[in-house]
Amino acid sequence: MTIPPPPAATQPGHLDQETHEVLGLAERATSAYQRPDLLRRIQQLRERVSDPQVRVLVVGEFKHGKSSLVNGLIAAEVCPVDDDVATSVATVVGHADEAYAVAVSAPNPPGGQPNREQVDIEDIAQYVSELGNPDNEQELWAFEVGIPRELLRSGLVLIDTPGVGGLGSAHSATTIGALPTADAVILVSDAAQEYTEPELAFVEMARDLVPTVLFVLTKTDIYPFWRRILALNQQHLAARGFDPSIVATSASLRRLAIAENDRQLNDESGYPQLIRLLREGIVAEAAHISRINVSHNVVSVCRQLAQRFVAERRALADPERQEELVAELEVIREQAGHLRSRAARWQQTLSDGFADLTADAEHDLRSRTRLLLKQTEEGMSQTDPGEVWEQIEQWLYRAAATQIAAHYAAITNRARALAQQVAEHFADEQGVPPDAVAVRAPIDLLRQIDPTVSIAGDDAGPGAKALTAMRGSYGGMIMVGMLGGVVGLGMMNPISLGFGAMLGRKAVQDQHDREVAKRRHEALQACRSYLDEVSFLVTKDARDTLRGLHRGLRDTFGRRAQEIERSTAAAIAGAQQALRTEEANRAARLRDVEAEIARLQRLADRAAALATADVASAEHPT
Amino acid sequence: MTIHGPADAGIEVRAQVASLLDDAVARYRETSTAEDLTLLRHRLDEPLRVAIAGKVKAGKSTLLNALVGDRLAPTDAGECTRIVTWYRNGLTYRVVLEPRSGPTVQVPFRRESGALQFDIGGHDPDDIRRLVVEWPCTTLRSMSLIDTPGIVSLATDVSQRAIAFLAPQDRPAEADAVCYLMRHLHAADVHLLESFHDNDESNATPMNAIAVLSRADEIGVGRIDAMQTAQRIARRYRQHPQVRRLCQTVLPIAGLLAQAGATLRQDEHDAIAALAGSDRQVTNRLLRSTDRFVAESDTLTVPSQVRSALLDRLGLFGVRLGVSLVRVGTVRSSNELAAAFLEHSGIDALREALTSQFRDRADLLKARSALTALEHVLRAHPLPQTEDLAMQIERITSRTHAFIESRLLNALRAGNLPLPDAWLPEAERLLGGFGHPPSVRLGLEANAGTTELHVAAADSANRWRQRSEHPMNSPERANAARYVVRSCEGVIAALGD
Repeated sequence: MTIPPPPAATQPGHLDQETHEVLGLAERATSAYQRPDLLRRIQQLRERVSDPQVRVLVVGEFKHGKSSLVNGLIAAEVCPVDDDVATSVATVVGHADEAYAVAVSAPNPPGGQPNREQVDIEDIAQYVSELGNPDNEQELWAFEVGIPRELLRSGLVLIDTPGVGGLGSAHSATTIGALPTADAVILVSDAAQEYTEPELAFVEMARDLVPTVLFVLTKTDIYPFWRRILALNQQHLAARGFDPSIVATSASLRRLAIAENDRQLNDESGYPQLIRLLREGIVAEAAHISRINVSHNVVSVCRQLAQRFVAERRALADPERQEELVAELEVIREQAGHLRSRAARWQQTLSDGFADLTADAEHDLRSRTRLLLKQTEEGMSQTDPGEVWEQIEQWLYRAAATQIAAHYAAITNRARALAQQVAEHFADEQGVPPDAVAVRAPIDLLRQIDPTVSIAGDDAGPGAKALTAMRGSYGGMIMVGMLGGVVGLGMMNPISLGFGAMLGRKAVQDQHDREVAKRRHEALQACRSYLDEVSFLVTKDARDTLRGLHRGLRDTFGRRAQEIERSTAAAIAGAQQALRTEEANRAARLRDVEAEIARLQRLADRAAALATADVASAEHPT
Repeated sequence: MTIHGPADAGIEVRAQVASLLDDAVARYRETSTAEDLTLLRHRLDEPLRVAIAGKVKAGKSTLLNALVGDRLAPTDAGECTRIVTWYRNGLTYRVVLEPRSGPTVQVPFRRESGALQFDIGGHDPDDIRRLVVEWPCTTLRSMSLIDTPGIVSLATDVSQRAIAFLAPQDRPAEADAVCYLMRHLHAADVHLLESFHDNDESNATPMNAIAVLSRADEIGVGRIDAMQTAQRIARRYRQHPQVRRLCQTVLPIAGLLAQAGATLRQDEHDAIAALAGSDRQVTNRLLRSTDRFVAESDTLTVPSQVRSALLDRLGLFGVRLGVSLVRVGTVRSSNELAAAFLEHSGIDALREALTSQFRDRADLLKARSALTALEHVLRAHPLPQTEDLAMQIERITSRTHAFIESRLLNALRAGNLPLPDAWLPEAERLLGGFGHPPSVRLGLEANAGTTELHVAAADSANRWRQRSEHPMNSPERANAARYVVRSCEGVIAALGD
């Protein structure tokens, strides 16, 4: 049997030719040896790793030049930049052969698929900026832009986020929510001043959720002291244990450089350095991870395929001990069968882990809600809610959104660790040769808890469902609950407010106190029922998310167990076939078997080489 | 002709508060609070205290220097104001350090290329209550300026010092008015403004706060039209309801430019002129970035270190602006350049706002601070025979029309004034919500004649009287309208005969 070479891969993405070829060979091998289960695994693997996205979130305080940075990177004015109005919706910029723009908004009716509306790239400002869409009235979730660019061809997706800490916005919360899904974060800060506490607090949180954090200093063209600021920032980063390398950039110089085609100016803009970092650091790193993933899986598949021939070879080479061999294999099969049963240790770990996780998640959410309530009570005791209700409302919404995002981030991290733990069981399982089961935690599955909208759009998998549920709780139901509270407060008699002057001070003072106490009570009641509502929805949503994850992980690991069992069965069949092979044909058969093993070994070697390939020398489409 | 509406009313209130304080000092003579009360009484006769507050690097010290017209406050790229520093008029030049406990110390100071430098020696910033810079100077004669450390500072204890000074929890605020600087409107800015906005009825007012959009030249990334952009943004913020509830107005300032305008030297002008006179293309390439601007060059007559010094003083925006002004011939001398810088910087508008909002109302603002402080003392250290003092405070606050006005404006901006929506803009204007000069209250041009003002004031008074007497009014609405009438009468009184 020969394995024809696969067609040359043409699709964009960060995967190189060799990886594609290895995957193609593995697909052919699995179908040739009639292992549809393993074929499916390779196909799923290909699907996962050829998702070309490497997501880079561009974050920072508003008006520090995030949109300009994205525009500078892709050398096109896609994100609207204005001195005044700021970006109010995330803009997702990825590669497309032909430029397009889509506005993704809340599904109508709620709970369905998000709305996708094709728009003119020229009109983006209207959708993305605060001026055209104040406080995101249009309920946009995100804005997708596809544009033909070499930098993006490698799978890079740049996400321009709304600024952290804008006036009365829940922006920073949604950005935190998106962190676990990102491959990297670029913290943008302008050279006007050193890092402030909120910025550093943000990157500290990001460090726990994102593999890579890059630091960019912007607007270096107009700040004479930018080197001082750079040095100060580096000290701040070093003090917090970050790699203190910061890229200094100037979008103005970059624009001029492109307009005038001036290489020196371009170098001064700092963009070439940043692009190199993105390519060699982030994209190459993502490709490297994908290659390792492919490598491990293909090696594992090859070994499983080879098991049959290895057993047959042993039987052919040493006919005396065939019976012994079969008995040995039977024991292994039994153990592999046990791995598949519900009583297997990994099953225990998984079930217990998820039971704990669900309980802990509920506790986590409860303590977060309690903290919020306590803060609300404290704040309320110092103010008259009649005067500052609007601020209380905004604060509570923001604080709740942040806590929910942090809650989901915590769940994601825990689930990730759990998957890893389960995977380790496979390697430990007695009797099963560890190298036959290079089971890796299906981290990609976990990435599907994804509050950002995939640029590919219409994946309606469990991830998409989690997304819809989460979005619903972010933007829809919670706001409705909140508005209920507002209506309740609005019924209060507002006329008595601020009218101490007219009734004479003393008399008013008492009534004022009573009125305030009443208002506080009502306001606190409204806040409490809002938090109840939030907590109810999020508990439900988180539980559903976890249940979906549990199922996904159980199925994935279950399939691994099945594969192992099948491979062992095949090995027994191979040994038994050797028994039946006639004496005269044995030599010929042995040669064939040796050849098969060598062929599989060659593929396994190629796959293994992928994992150790030098990252820097990996080819990039340029 | 200058017409200051409520100035006379201010003098009257101040007199009332002064005698009230004298009385209080006498009653508390034997107690430990007597000293505080005496200080409070003296404060009434001192210049108004205006605190300059804002986030880190908002340009507080630069603005202070621009207002004083001298480089007294240290400015630096890093975070530099770490201690609350008072700048006030004095007979001699001196810097005094007041520790939290122990005697005050004089601090040595010197001038380094025009900028004042002082050294606090081995003192721990935490143990220093404040630094006082006494400097004979016109601006400081009418108001003392207080430079505060930046908020949301990384060194959070620095931030705490600023908050403790500006919005103390346990005692009345030491500043009578606040000039709040921000680069953009951040949540933290709003929060801080809110803490100035005391919730106590008698004190709740945005009337003693002005917001400044500082470093305005940088908003437009140093482009030559940056100030127009900043004006537009300030205008938008002024209309933002949340902002309007917190401060009187929002003004854009290019602090560095203002400081440079106030202290420009001949050699700086000459350097700008030389740059403007050099080859256009060479200069333009130079002006693209700060790095390029200070880079060595053989083709330029202005040496690199001179350019570097120029950049420190003016910023790239200042240099760009200066060069373009000299090039088009608008500016021909050092004086003209300084004047142009001042004009572009927006400092004049801020000075005007400080004058009309703070200085001309200094008596009112000081009286208000004194009343709040006295109230605090009475609550914290009650004596059996001081109840009538509390009643007197009540009387003054509920009868002083200026205080009533500010309460009504508060209610109005919080959406709680029981007047029909169509009446609100006019009510806000007449109550002094856009400024206090009669012409502003009446919505007329600044140069309107006395007769015109009289007619308009009488007109408004009549209209609002009719509104207040409408039989279908609720008592609250009638009351509100009556107070607007009272404001109109105040304008008429201020106009004189």
